[in-house]
Amino acid sequence: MLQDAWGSLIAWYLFLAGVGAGAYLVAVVADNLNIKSRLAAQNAVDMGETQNKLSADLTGKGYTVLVKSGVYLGGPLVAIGCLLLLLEVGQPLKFIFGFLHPDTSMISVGMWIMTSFIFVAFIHLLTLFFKGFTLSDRALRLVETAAGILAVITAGYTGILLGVIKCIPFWNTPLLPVLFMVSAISTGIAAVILVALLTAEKDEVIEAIHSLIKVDLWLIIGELLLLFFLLFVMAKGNQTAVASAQFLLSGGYAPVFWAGLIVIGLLLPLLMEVFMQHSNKKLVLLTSVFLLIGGICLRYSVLAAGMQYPVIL
Amino acid sequence: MKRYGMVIDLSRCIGCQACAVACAVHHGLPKDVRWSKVKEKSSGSFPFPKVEFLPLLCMQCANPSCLEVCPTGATYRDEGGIVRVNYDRCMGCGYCTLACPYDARVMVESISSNHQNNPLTEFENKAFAGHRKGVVEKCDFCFDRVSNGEEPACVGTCPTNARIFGDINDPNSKISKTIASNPVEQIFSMLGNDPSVYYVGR
Repeated sequence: MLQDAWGSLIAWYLFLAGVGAGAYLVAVVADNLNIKSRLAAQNAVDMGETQNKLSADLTGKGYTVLVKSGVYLGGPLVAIGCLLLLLEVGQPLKFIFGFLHPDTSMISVGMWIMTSFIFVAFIHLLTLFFKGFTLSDRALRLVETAAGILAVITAGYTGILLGVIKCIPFWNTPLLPVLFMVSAISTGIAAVILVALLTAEKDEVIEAIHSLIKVDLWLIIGELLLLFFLLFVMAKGNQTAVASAQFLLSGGYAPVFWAGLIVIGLLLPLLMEVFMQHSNKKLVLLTSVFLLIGGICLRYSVLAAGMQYPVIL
Repeated sequence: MKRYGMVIDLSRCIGCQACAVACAVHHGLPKDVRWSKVKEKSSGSFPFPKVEFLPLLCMQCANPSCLEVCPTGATYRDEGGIVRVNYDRCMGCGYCTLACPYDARVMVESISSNHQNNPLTEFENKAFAGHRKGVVEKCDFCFDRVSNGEEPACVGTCPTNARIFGDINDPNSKISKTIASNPVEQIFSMLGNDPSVYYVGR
């Protein structure tokens, strides 16, 4: 029967943890590219090449916006996700005991990882927020690396959390953590693009956003493939797996799955990314919104299709 | 170490649900909170209709999935091999209800009367005191009765004596001898939980 233990709040928690982790990863990558482009700018100055310096400068500005967007999204979104968890559990005051079993429980593991990520990501955030709070280059790189690694783990962990439940065949597959991780990065990119376009001058960020979109294109294709593999194999699996897949493909959840996840969440953004002008601010914003809708619909769909084996001898 | 287990003879079960009722009454279970159930399956058609009954409860696994996924350590195994819950520790995350392959664990969403939408009866007022909202409960093999040398409520009340209870680590116990000399089965043995409840007479 369909599980009824983990519903809406858990779907939003999985989504926010994914987007937050993904957005922070975008910031880390952008920051590293920023360093490269600053070096390029310095090189250009040394060589007396003004034109190269100007273009490197502009790229640098774009990356800086991406870093800021990603960092301001990362820690807070994951933190909000964890707050939703506190609202969901039956005895929030006992939450603290949840740290005790990272040896066997994926929830414990997650609590450690996410608390650590939030802590380190917030340190990074504070360096951007408070002009007075600065870290040495080395310290900042350390913070970024630690938070970046924790972000990668967070992105995949949400899939492992469900993946270890061996009596729910739709979840008990290595495809799930891969799918959730790809979705986390893609929705992270979408969120960063959204914030970047809304907070900075379009000309400053358009180059950087163009690069992000080029990457996201492949992530969407990857996600569509992964979903196809997952559903195909499930549909050819045991009775419970088949029933789970059917629930999404043609059953009660088909509208959310097809309209929310596949069409709005993946196909439309893919077509838009391929065919639209990346300089069209409104369309780019819309693409980001569609991708985010897809992200939450994915989490809802996976949770909703979680069916346990019926208990029979 | 003791390991309490059960053998349920399906050829004796008549689906009367006395076990389910005894459990609910003995433990004062609120509405929608049930630790013991009997599943009914009908098949075939006239003139050969068939109905099968499957009494279900916590399998008190030796390798419990619920214990593995519990983040707080609220779920533990006691000296009798009974899988118990420390309700003062349980944070109500519900992970165990997903992990248990036997549908044995139930989240207490609310504490209300078993009698439609009426206020609690006098019995319920007293009986519900031992329960709290927001934690996950399950069959505890009536460890309160077992430690007094009695059998679980469901075992004693069965009118057809379909259940045998005892220490399966003791080779001389009635249950061990039953298991040794009968084609007993476990539910979902391939999942690796090693349940302590066996079925026979299918």
